[in-house]
Amino acid sequence: MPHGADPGEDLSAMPDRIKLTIDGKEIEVDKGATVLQAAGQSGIDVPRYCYHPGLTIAGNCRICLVDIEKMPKLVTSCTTVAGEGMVVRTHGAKVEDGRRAVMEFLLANHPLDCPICDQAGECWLQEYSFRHGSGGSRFKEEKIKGFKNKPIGPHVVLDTERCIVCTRCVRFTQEITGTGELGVFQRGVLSYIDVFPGTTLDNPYSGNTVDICPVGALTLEEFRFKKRVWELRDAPSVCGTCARGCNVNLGISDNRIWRMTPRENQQVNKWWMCDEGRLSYEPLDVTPRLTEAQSRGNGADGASVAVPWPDALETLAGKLKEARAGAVVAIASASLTLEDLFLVKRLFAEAIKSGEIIVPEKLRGQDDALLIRADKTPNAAGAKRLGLTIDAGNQRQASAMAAAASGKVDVLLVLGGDALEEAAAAGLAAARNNAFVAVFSPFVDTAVKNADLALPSTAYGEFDGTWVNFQGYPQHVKRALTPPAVALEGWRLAGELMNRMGVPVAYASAAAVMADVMKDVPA
Amino acid sequence: MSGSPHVGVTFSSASRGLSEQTLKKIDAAIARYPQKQSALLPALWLAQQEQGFCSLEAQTQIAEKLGVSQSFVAGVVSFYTMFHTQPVGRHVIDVCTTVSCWLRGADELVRHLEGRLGIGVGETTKDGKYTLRTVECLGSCGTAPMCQLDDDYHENLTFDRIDKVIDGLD
Amino acid sequence: MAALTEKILTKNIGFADQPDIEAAIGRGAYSRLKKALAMDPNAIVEEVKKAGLRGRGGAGFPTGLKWTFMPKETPKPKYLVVNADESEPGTFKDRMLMERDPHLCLEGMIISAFAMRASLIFIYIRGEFVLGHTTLGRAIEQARAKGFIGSNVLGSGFDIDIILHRGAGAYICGEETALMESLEGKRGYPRLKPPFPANFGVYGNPTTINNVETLACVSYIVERGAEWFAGIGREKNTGPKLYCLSGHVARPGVYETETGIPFKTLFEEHGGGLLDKKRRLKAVIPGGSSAPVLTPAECEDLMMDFDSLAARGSMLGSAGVMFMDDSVCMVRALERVLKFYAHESCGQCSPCRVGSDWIYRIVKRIEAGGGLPGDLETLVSLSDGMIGKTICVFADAAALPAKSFVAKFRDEFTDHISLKACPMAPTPART
Repeated sequence: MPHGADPGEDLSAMPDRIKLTIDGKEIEVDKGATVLQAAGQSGIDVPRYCYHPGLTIAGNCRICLVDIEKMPKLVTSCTTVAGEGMVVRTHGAKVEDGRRAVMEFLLANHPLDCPICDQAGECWLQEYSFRHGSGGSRFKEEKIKGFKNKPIGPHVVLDTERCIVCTRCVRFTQEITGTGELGVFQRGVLSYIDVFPGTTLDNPYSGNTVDICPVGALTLEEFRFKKRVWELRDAPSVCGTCARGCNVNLGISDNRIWRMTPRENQQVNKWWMCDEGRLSYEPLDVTPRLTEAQSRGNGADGASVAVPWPDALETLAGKLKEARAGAVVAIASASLTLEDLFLVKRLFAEAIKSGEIIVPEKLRGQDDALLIRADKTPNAAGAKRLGLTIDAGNQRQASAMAAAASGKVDVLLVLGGDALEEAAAAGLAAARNNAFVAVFSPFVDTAVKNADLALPSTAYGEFDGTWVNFQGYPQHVKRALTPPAVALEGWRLAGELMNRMGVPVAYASAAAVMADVMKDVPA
Repeated sequence: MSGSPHVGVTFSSASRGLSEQTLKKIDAAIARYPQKQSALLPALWLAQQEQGFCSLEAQTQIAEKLGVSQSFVAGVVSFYTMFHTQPVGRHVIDVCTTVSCWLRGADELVRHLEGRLGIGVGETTKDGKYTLRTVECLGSCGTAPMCQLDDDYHENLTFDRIDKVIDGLD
Repeated sequence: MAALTEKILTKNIGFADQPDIEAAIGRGAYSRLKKALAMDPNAIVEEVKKAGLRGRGGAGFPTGLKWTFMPKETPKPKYLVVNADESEPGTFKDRMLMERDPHLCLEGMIISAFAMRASLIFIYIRGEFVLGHTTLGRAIEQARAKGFIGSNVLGSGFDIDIILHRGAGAYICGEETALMESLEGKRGYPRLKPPFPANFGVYGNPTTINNVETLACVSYIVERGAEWFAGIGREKNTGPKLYCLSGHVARPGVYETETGIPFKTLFEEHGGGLLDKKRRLKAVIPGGSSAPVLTPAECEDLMMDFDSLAARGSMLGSAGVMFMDDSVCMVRALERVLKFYAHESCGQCSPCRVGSDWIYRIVKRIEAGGGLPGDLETLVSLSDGMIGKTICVFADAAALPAKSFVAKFRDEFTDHISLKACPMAPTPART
């Protein structure tokens, strides 16, 4: 995969600048910029289908035609390099005629099945028809038939009748992933996009082809027919699937995430995200939530009983106070926010005054050349910045679990739903024989089932805070969903415990915690 | 193009991949060019020479040799009209029906051949001997009507003359 | 300015043994190469410029000027690409030259490569020309054995190699940048320009693309000089020229005359007039099917050169002259022209991909009796929507003939629409 993210772009070399006039506005741009880019920089939106800033220029859709003085014909703004003194018009009768003609050609064989098309609402054919189309169709011939609803991979469904052969998806697989699953077959009006017979579009980034498809030709298996897009609101967020922290939009309706799409960030993920991250919201709605704080009963069946939060906090604070010096261990996930980890650290330093915080290592596979990181936590760099060390090979965690099982640990705190791998979570059963085990998680998971005390936390999308990605960029994660009333953020849990242990803290928000983090931690 | 047009190319499998001999010839073709991808058309010609068409297996082998994706190769194969994506008759009769040949009776020639071979345009005789196609201009307008039969041009055709040519085929 | 009084390019095509190098050398082949290798390459370029040679492939661009676009000082290898993808309907002159006098073609290529200091020649020959491919292939081997191709050609210090590359059926590969893509092993999609081939051609290296006939002329410019060449034909339309006559003409074939021969002379003296003398001439497509159609009245005093035809709203193009007599239904003729373009559009740009098929289907429907009021207006407006809006000029080549047929034979179209049928008998076959 040839194109990796490039965090260290050289901003020091200032290229030559040129001046041109677009729609009467004088604009200064870098030499080498295209007219379309120049227009974009000054807020003039030139329509485009085939042009995508992350891909090579194809110049095939022809919708971005503009009129340039001294040029006899309309030219495509995506292929024309802006020149000194150029006078460009992106509107006017000549340009509108040209665009109307292109729109008419693009729609001639199109099925016009908008009512049942998943792209409706974010379809650029709809958008530009509205802006530049003629309203009626002069096409009296029989429309060309194509493939419909053809799954071409685990996540992507193809409809060639809606396709305008802009080749964005083909270029994506050729240029970005280097996998080349997609090609243009046949020629002329029969040209169509497909995979090679017997193969599938199955690479870790396949879903991006759906995002960049300007029409309804490529749709996402997991999102098709789930929601009309205008019912969704896009909440900016950050993906928590790995240490990259791709910038995303969460498509939200009914206090639920219906899809995740990449949000452009040139330093972090450019325009892309991986399929695993894209679908990472799916378990959120199917995994049973921990809807109350629970305490394991003393009966023989060990059944858990609900306890009010204040009682649960009192119990835990009491256990922490009673613990022998050095006999408290926290296993705190690197998926917790910087704010969460900051207060957990303060809890240990100022209230417990001894004990150990272990941040588990969660590696899987290898870093690839595009986005995916082997580190499957979004905030390991943040933990390190707070002075916490990542538990290489999870050696310390293993020792701590053994120590807990053998009675050397009095209180074991498991913080974060993904703090422990499944086997380690099962190992809590042994630890609980001699240690008090408290688990802070959004879900009724294995760790919760093995806990003496289970405390409900917010889940992905429900909290405010900061993750520091592997490049060192602190990224704000904004609350997008209303959490269940019972769920707490990590920083709030740590703060409540500090208050109950005689170290009063009064943070009203993650932002307030962050203000203190900034004072304490070198940027 | 008749009836309601439909996109889609029928790609066929061969029972096996290309022979060692053909693969060696492809290597030799690669060696002739400054960049190996230039050998794509020559490689496809060699594949078609061996198998009668460009099979999926051959396309895959060629893709591997040239370092391009299978879809890329299939895109090239299906772009050019002379590459077959499925088996064709032992003899392919391509009748030019573009303007000059049409003015000189190409349509009548096609109808004659359809009757004579008992197949329509685009079809192959049941015995697998002939495939009849119409094609666009073959650059033989001064000797119209004409057809390309396998590698050879047959020009200034009359019904009688094309019949004799067909009679002479094995 | 004078008429051509002898055969030049076609001088030896009647000799069956001409493809053999010994026979060709006996008739003067490669003597021009020897002369050229003793010249300063720049002087050859100057001669070609002075001769006024214009590209014979269709565009009529001055060849010498095109050569000067090649960068002089460049560390990159320079290429000469020979466009032997002759595919314009009505054109069959290059095939004849390659099949019957391959050494004349090769000699012109080698001289031209020397003039541009190119190190490699690619000959892109259309896939259907199997005989031409075999003949040229054999000729290249013979020329290599004789030392006309290879390193240090004839002791001159000039190194040249030739790669013969076979296409596989795609008209668009005659467009020079589509040809380069095809040569690089891709779909034949015309490239965005700029960059132009002279700076960024095959593999990104400086490349000049010339037509077979154009390069064959170069041999004789070297042999006889620019003044001789410039003295043949008409102003700015010089030298010998191959015209391809086809359709309803008595003696179809390739005719070599001076550039800019009067239409009447070409048609009547060379072509022998109409095939069926009882018929009348109805229409002429003067430069391959991309050229707008002309009526007999427009041909009356017509000179068959680049500028005269351009002035008449058509073009000399590849000099494929197609004649139609009055038995021809012009709707059906246009349908046939447009079927070609619908089939050959590469499909890259939306206006061409959809437009060339759409206008074909409208005309097909009109011819079949399904014409509707407004069809002609739609046809013309769609053609306008295609012209000048695509990467290459293919869309124009489909749309301009369509507009010309409708403009000049409008009554036939409106009759079809109002009668809901073709009023003419099927075009009879006359062979």
